[in-house]
Amino acid sequence: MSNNHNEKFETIYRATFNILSKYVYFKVANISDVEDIIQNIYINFYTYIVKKNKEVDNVQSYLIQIANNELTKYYKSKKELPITFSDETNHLIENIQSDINIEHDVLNTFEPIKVFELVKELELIDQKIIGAHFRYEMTFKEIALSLLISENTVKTRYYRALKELKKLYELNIE
Amino acid sequence: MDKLKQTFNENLLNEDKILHSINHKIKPKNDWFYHKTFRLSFGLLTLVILSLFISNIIQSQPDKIVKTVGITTPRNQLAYALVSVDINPSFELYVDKNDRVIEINPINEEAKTLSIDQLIGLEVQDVVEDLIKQAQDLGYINLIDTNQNTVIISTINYGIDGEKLIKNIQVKLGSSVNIDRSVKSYIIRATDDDREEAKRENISLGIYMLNGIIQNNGVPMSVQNFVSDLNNLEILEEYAEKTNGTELVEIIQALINELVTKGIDVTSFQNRLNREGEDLEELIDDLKDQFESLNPNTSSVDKNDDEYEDDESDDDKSYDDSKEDDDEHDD
Repeated sequence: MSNNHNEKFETIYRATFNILSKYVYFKVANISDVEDIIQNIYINFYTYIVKKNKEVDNVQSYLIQIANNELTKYYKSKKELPITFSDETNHLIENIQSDINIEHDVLNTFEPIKVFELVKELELIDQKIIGAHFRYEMTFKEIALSLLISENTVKTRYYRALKELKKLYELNIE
Repeated sequence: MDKLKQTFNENLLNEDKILHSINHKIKPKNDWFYHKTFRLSFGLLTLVILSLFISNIIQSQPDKIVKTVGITTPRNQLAYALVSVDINPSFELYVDKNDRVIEINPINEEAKTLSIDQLIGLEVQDVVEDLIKQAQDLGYINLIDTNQNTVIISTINYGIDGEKLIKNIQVKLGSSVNIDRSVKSYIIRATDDDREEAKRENISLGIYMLNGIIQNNGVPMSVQNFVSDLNNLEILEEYAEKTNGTELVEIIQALINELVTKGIDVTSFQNRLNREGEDLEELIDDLKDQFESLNPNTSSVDKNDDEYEDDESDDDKSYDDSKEDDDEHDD
């Protein structure tokens, strides 16, 4: 690839990666599949647009369009439906007070890489919430919108997930 | 808190790592080649003049490669893709618009010992499978020695759907019950420039591509020597086209369909395929076990020993398990 193509591609990649990866992240369960799909999207973009010196009006929309095509292919091949989550029947937050920073309780004592590994043992929805919060620094409201569930459910599940992580961590080191 | 965020950034959908993988796939060139070229060149101006001069010479030759659409084969046919198969033996397969092989060019002496005439007109994936099978039966592939069971397939697209071509080969080889499971195939995308350089260096395209992805002080290395180094193998794994979920599902479906034709109840396999979280590679292994259990006394290596006997050009040569011949194959 020529230097010009290389630079142009990397600039677009850096500018769009966060939005695009987040988009795919919430639509596919398996993380390595998410990575494959993201790679396919950018390789497709490089091959058909950058390398051929073509221009598109709105790069981000174009990439999302490719992403949708890739996701359709993916669901078809895996014979899966897009992941969906439903709100819990009980939306009440379980006595969680914002001034009690459970995160610190967990994080101050734990090795980050172990916590990261333990996240994989959580329920899929909780993995997505924790990942979105720490990887993309999304607010509960943003996560709720992405997962199409209520903000209360996100909060509840988030704090429960932290408790679960703490439990798993302690079991793990025993 | 920050540490945890940093850990997630580094390990979950890491921007740099994914870019690195993408670059590997879209940038088949290598630093080794460029360094060598620049060392050998007399300066940029000389290089430009020389390139123009060589380009003019090539244009006047009958096997001139048309850069974008089509390539003229050694027998002056128009092909739309070139697939190089390096086992050693090594072949160049010229492919038409319908993915059918129209010409096969054996590019070393070993390649001439395989029977190729009957393969003309077949789809490229079937031809690749057949060549590997023949090489396996003739002992060019040593199923026990992990350094001698690697096949490098390089593809150059001259105007057809290259993705489809690669996928078809992946699915065919993945679902083949004729090729031993220990045989490892890697598919690498190459360019017309790579082919030109390989010709100039007088080595096969696959060997050129392999040596392009590592630093070897400019000394071409055989496939066997290349894969004997675990580090090289690791790089190759990253560099080659990966068989992703889509292809794995198709491979499994092809194997299931084949079992159906043999009257086997495939319900449990089909259910496993449809089940979320199923390990697809394990499922492929189980399906192949099922095939083997259908023919418990027939190994894939010896079942067609007689098939190619008459085609061997050198009657005095026995490929069964001769150490002498294995040594010859190394080069």
